[in-house]
Amino acid sequence: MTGASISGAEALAPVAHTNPLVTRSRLSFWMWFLQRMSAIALAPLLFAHMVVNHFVDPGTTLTVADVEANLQQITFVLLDSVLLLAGLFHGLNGLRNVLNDYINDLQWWQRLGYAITILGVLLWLFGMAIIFTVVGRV
Amino acid sequence: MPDNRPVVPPRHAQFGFVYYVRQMLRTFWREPGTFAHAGHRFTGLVLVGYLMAHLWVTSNAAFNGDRFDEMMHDLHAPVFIFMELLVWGAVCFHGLNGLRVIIFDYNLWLDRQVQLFWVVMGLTLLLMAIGFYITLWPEVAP
Repeated sequence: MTGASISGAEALAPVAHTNPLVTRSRLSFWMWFLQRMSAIALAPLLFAHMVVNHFVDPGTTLTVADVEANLQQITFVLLDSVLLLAGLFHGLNGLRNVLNDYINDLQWWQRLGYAITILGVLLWLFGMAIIFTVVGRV
Repeated sequence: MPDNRPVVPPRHAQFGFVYYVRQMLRTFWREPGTFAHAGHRFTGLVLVGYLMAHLWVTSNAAFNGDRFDEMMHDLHAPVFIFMELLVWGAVCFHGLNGLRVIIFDYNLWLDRQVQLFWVVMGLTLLLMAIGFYITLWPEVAP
């Protein structure tokens, strides 16, 4: 070893946790990790979504018949479902991260987390209801 | 020789949003990281709002088909096309800058943050231009 090089968690390990806001919870790690993973998933999926729905035949207007025809294919159902889940998680967790930057109260962090979770579950159910109502109608 | 001294405003003007934005614009060319951070945050909030509106409009396809067709027709007004192109720009910047941030999270290329920012800006402008071209001249679309 020619030089001491520490990085990441090792460098932070000796810090004493006197501030209750500074916690090392596994949940925080997984939220950070899933934020990155959903971002990497969203990049190609959103690009495919834009190309298929907006950049092919951009002069035409999308109608319900088009949506129904598209959702007959399993590819579109999968694309929309994964986009919904990844987009909602990434967006709402990002919103939580932004709001947490302006909140200095651990209890309000937790309340915000619960509120965002409930909102996300409701919006996910709403989105899945949209997709599978169209799928089941035809 | 470039003047790299920090600009120190009077004490009463050193805090707050206006000072933040002013300092960000002043240091944009040599330290664009602040702009990248603020822009990432701003476009992210815009895209969350767009996602909510998108869900609401799309829900009509399932629950009220006639209203969906009406809305899609109304949303083809030039003002909405223009706003959608701005959203496309926000998507491009947020996505590419997010990939840049992920690279730094994994301790890579930390000495090339500024260069990568200009790569991100170039690719954003390129993708925006392609989107604008396809949308505003529909006859060239594949």
